[in-house]
Amino acid sequence: MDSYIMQLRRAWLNQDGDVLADLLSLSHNHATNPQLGSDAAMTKAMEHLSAPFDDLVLHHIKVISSLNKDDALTSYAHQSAAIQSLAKILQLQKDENWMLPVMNSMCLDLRRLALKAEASKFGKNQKSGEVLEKCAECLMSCFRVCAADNRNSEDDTKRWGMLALVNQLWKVYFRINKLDLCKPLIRIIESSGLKDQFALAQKITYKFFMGRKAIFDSDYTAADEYLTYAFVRCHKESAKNKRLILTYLVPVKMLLGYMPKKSLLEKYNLLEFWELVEAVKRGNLRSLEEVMNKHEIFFISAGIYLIVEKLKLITYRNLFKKVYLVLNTHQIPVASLLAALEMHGVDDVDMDETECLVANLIYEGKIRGYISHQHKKLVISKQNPFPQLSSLNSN
Amino acid sequence: MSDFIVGTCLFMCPEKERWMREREGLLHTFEVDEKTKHLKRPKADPSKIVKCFSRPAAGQLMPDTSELRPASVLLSTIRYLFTNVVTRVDYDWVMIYDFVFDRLRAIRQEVVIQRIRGPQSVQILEPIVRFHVYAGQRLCEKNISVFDTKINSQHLLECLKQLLVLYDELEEQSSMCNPNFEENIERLSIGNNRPQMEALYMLLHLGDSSALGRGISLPHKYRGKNVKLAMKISLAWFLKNYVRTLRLIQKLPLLLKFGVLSNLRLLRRDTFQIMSAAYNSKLLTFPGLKLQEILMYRDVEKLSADCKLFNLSFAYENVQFDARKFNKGLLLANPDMYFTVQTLQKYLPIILLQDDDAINDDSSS
Repeated sequence: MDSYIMQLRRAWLNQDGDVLADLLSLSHNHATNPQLGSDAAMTKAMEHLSAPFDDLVLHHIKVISSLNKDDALTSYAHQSAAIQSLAKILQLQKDENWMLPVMNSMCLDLRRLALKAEASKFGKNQKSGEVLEKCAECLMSCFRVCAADNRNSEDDTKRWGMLALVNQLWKVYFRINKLDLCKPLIRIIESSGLKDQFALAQKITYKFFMGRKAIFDSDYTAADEYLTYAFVRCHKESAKNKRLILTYLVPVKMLLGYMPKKSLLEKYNLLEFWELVEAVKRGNLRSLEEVMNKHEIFFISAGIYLIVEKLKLITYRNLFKKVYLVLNTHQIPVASLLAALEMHGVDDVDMDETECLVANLIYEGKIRGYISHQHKKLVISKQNPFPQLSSLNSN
Repeated sequence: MSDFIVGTCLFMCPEKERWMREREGLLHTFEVDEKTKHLKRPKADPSKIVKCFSRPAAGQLMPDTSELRPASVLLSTIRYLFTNVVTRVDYDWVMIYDFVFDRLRAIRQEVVIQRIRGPQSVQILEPIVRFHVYAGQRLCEKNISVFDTKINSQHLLECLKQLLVLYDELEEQSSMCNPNFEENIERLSIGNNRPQMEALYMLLHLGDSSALGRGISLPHKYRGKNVKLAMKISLAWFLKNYVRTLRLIQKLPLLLKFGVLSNLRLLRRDTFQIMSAAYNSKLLTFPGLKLQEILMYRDVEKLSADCKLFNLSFAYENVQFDARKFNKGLLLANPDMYFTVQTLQKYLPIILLQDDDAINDDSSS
């Protein structure tokens, strides 16, 4: 215990951010030492450490003590107090940024504790998401200190800390469904001169969430760009993260006309998508519906149900193309398209709706031609009536 | 809850406000005592006067409890407004709307001041939501100088979102065991209207991913017939399947139909745009009758007016679609009231006070 306090003192005096980050992290092995939660430890800390650092350490010790008692809500409250005193220290340290590693690790712990506190709230009269909302506010207090530090040279500015905080905030906002709150943060990051120079791992996380937000906003070309960036640069050893990125990238790519290879899906254990690929390729709406029902929970919990629903459009296109190839005419009777739909499991559709499906495909440029309502025919262009989907993405 | 303020006023309007408004001549026609209406300073009828909305003044001290109405009085005030005022036929409904809107707003304000939460606030908010949905349809063709659709829908969404939060809270609380038996009984009765409100939320935000997301993750017990139908409609519009969207809309019960029709101008506009690309031709035309059916036009004149609006030619009952001529800059078609005033009047106040699943609207034509 003594040595722990001394180590803290040394790291503080030496301004060694990495060591200090470890010493104040809850994943470090000191956190499991039951002695550290004692009053004696606090007295020691008061004796050997100076203000304002002592305050931070006291809160940290209280976190450990309440963690030992398995009290998630109280641990969260103490961690939040620790972050507040950290924010004060950061504010006081005018021309230095060596504390950023400490901030990163403590903020990570804060978010984890908030999740734990949310889970433990069962039985207490509190709104769900309340702790996470407070957690976001707390993270924002650090973010403000960092973002405001714009007078220093690039070497000493605390602005380097912004991206890691934004990434923590993404995670919180996705959890509590408040994506709108990210907008101002994105603006600050995108307009910051450091944008391309942040650590790669942070950039990857950031782009991953940008991609997910783009999916949410139905901007699939942007989503493709962000997620591809994240996937390509993500380290090949972190298969778990690569798989996570693919969960979003695969359906986006499919929508843009690129079908994944089976081997890729196999490699990352994402074969749910293979069934989808086959249904879409064949224009088989019945089996698409079946796959959607079968993996409904997976698609919903991953937040990709709606983009999978959008794949129906491509499935229609593929089915209609097959009809064209079979009939080999440029004047396709709408009735034949309807028959094809019915054959593939769409049983509650009629001529009007078939025309409507075709109309949408024409509007989006996925079919070149026009519909003649009088003649009940789809008249397609002599040249390239079904352009490659991947060629359409520029618009 | 003891630290919250609880009102003690048992009238729809506190006496102090009544005296003040009598003195200043600020009584609404609906509030005047019939016997005194010819006087220079008419008196208020205490059974008709309702507290009106006023913005909290800056620096105002804690509200006087004698000027606040407890939840039960707020509820009976709503009931009074819906049974005695909205049903009146002797005045223009715009005037009725302005009056009721204002008085309901005062009620909402008191819910906030007294921090009324839980089942009681659900009971108060639900009818208010219905009122704004109804008004949105009934007054949609009115000029902006007398009725502002945007303001109406802002208030509607504010109440509705608040309701959804309350539902979630109550759901969470009921999953824990509650020793208070009476409160549990009260809760049992309030889940009843939740499906209607959830469906409404999806229908107001047609094709919107976050509203759909909420619907998709809704607990199974709330996914009744109407919620499922609302989800189907929203998904159909998500894929811009206008034929299916508009066809399914017609299967909705009345109130939900009123709600979804707030999107009608957008639905029509987008459909015109899609069809202008797909039926683009200099020679061929599209039969107006068919289009009238697909896009739910009661009156062919309205269809012709919309065609004109979007710069499409409408001649001999046929529409000529032309992708280049279509006026993309316009974001909405003309407002069009789908129901007749007679129909709309007929279902008052039932539609505002209860779930309207029971009402069949086959008489709407």
